[in-house]
Amino acid sequence: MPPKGRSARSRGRGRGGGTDSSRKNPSQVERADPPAESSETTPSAESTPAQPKVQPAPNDVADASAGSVPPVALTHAEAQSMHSSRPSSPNTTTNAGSRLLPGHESSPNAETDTLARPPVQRLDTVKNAATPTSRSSSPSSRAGSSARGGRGPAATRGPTFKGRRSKEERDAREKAAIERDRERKAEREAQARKERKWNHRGGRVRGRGGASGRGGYMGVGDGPVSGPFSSGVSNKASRPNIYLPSGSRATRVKDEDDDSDVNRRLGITVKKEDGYYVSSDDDDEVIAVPKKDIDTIQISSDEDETGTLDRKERRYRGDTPAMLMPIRIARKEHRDRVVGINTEASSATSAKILQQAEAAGESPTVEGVENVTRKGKGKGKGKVKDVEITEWRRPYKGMWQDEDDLDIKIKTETLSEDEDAVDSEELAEEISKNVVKKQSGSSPEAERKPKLRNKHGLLDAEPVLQTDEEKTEWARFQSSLHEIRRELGPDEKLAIQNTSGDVTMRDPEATKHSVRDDAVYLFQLPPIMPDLLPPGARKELADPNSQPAASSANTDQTPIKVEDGAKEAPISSLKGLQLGSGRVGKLRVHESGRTTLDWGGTSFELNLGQTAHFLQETVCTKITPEKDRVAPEDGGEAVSFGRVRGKFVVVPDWSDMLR
Amino acid sequence: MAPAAIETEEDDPVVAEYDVFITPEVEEQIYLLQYLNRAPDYPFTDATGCRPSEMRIKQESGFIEVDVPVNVRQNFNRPMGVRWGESVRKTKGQGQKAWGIASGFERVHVPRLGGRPGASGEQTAADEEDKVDEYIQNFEDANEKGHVLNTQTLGGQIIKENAGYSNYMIGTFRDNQLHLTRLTGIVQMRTQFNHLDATAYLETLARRREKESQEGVKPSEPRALIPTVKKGAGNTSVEKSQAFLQHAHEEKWTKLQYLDENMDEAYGMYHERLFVQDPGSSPKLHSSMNNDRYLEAISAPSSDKSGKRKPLTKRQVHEIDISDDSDNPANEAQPSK
Repeated sequence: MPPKGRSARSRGRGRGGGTDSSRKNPSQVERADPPAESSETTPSAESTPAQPKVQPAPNDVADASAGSVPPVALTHAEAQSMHSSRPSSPNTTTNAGSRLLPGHESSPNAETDTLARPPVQRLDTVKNAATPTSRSSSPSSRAGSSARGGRGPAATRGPTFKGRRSKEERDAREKAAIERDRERKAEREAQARKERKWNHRGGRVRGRGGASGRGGYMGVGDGPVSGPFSSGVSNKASRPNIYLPSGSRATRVKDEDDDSDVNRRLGITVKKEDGYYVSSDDDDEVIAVPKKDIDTIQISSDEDETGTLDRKERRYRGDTPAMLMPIRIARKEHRDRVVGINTEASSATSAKILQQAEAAGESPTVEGVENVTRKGKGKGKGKVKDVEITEWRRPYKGMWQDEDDLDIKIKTETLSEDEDAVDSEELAEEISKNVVKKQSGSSPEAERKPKLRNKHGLLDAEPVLQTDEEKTEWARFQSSLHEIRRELGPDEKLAIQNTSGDVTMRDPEATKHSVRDDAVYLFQLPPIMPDLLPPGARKELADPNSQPAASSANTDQTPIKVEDGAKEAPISSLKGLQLGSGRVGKLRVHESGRTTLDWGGTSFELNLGQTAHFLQETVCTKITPEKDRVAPEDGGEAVSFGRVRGKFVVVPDWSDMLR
Repeated sequence: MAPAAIETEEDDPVVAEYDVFITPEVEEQIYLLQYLNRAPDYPFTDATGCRPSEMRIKQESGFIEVDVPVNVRQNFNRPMGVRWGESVRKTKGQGQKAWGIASGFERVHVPRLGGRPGASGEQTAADEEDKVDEYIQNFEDANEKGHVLNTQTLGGQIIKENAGYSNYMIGTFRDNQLHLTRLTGIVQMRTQFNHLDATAYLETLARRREKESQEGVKPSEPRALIPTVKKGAGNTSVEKSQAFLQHAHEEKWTKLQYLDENMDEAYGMYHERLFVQDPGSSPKLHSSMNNDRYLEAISAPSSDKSGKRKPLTKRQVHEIDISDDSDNPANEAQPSK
């Protein structure tokens, strides 16, 4: 039985919790500080988006989500309580404010430590036991951290706080804080309970949720991915999307209205859109608002983060998917087809395209991931990465025309430490290798042979590709292999493989819960597929058709007639595939992602099917026979198995068949 | 390069291996519902507040409909909601439960009202309007009592497995096992506008009545009937369609209770239906063709009329490989689409 019910959920909420809590923040703030005036709330609210980003990724997801709530809320609370409790000393207030901000930028590492600390509820312990150092260094600062409920960042930032508070004040604030915490906690729980049901989305809540159910689909670029190549190459990053508690849409939009550095992050999207943005619109001059492809814009909201999420919630409830947006055909700049000899320039271009396409596919996810990060998990590196990528934005744009920047681009990807980046890096390298190879010069025939061979999906076998189309095709192929590998490969190994400094975010989940559990996949089989016969039935059933079988054995002597029969035999499968029940064979996932299926002795291969852009659910109908029905109305049950997580296409394994 | 290609097997170790099973065919049927105008992010589940309230199936003629609740409190046109709701309710009362092709485009014959000419038609129409207004006023109440169209109907025709087309199976993983279950059919679920049909039909009825009330009902005259011989099953496409529609019309909906994917039942069913219950003792299946035979089966029939077409020897295949590199093996090995 799959995990379900409370216990499973509470753990599963992991990421969902992140969203959850961040969604709640403002309301909490307001409730915690009813007297707070809007003028006060505003500045603190602005600091909100910046803060969670610095939160490092904790190992315990659930804890993190719990722990990350207070930071935001409390920060406001403190700032405000300072206002209200000590109107006479504006200095203190300003200090508090200034202390907050530098703290964010300067000490991500320190915060890494502190985040592991217990959340608000354990305030006393924290205050007494865990923070003596900061207390000793700056007694006055303790007031601040205690008011924050002993939350980590406050403690570490403490020293910069120069204000003084009397014992009474501290006590009072402390008490107030405790009370607030309690209140908040209760509220949070209530809300969490309420929201839990649609918060599983992220999936691992219920087993199936993670996969097919709420969590969705593994596929290539879920959601409307924009960009010319995105439909094909995008998927590098698509998997993390599955874990997004609330889908990538709302988050993406939220980015839009977040403040500047979020916008910079948005730049990831923007930059590549820019590459393709061929528009005569007069809004071209508006630089402040980053351009987004219309396909990726899901909601336009002028509300803040929370507002968006609320809206999202409403949308859910309201059954009004915000997907009904105008659609236009993706535009891309026309480029002359590069024919013939593969010059360095052309390969550079293709690499660029490749990257671009990848980035296009990747960005929503990255953003999404970042958002999750910001909200709950707090991955310290997220920010760094953002910044780095963003910085490449302009060079990147330039590269559109400039072919010399190939290596720079590779670097860009290298900097981003995401697993996806690793992958694209590989691809980029591959292509650069191709260039080298090409330069070394070999006759067309010599090149082509390996190409034929290597098409069977080996990462290390780099074909020599001539045109951009070939290259992108190759990239698509590789990425689909990668996707399969990721989906079907062993989880633990995946985590290790992906560690390029930071252990993957979903590590905790991956080990506990396979993504495949409780998921439903769709397998498409070829129209002509060998029947599968149980051992006993084999002879009987095969007998009518056995001639062909025999004919294949002794081909040479077989008379013509029987050969015709041989040709009939497959056509007999047009009657429909006959499958017995039992063990078929093995599905083997190779390191490269190449996946073979042994179909009772016939060799097949598994390819990644295209991800549907619409909702696909599987349902099992159990119809009560009419005579057994209690009421004529009650015809039985339809049991939903949730969404289809992914699609695979079974194709003949040519490498084996033609061996 | 060539050596690299040869080394592939060693270079590319197997990282995961699954035993593949095929589940037995049982009574419960599995459909893939494709909601074509619904984004994958918005499943029809309890969690999103739109778990289908009802599912209907005409198994024989192959139709499925699903009623999805609509939020009547947001962006909802109450007057129209009430009007349509009433139309649907009334026509249902008359026995019209399905519309469009799912009903074979047939309409339930509504017995005519009394034949006396008079203002009854208008009066009822006025009554109707009053009622609608009242429902709009007391919207919540009316909604509870079923006067409001608060569901959206999605439906489609079941596409059964078709010889000559791709076969589809559902794959489920458990530990290191992959279980494949055959899909009974695929349904493309599109929005159904039954409420519009119902409204239009009621309007037609009202017009007819009005006319009757003014002119009086003509005494039913004997009509010339052309006796038609009903064939059991026609062979022409027209006859087939007729038979199909007739069948669709005659078949009643089977109403099914829709269980959410997060329910325990769903889990139970999932593990019961989509897995071989006893993988350990399940028989080993054998393919009816080996690789060569299969290759031949999927190849175009030889144009060589000599007929003596034997499977290629390995060497020959190899030669083809080299000489004809634009052949489909290379292309087909690419990911589809």
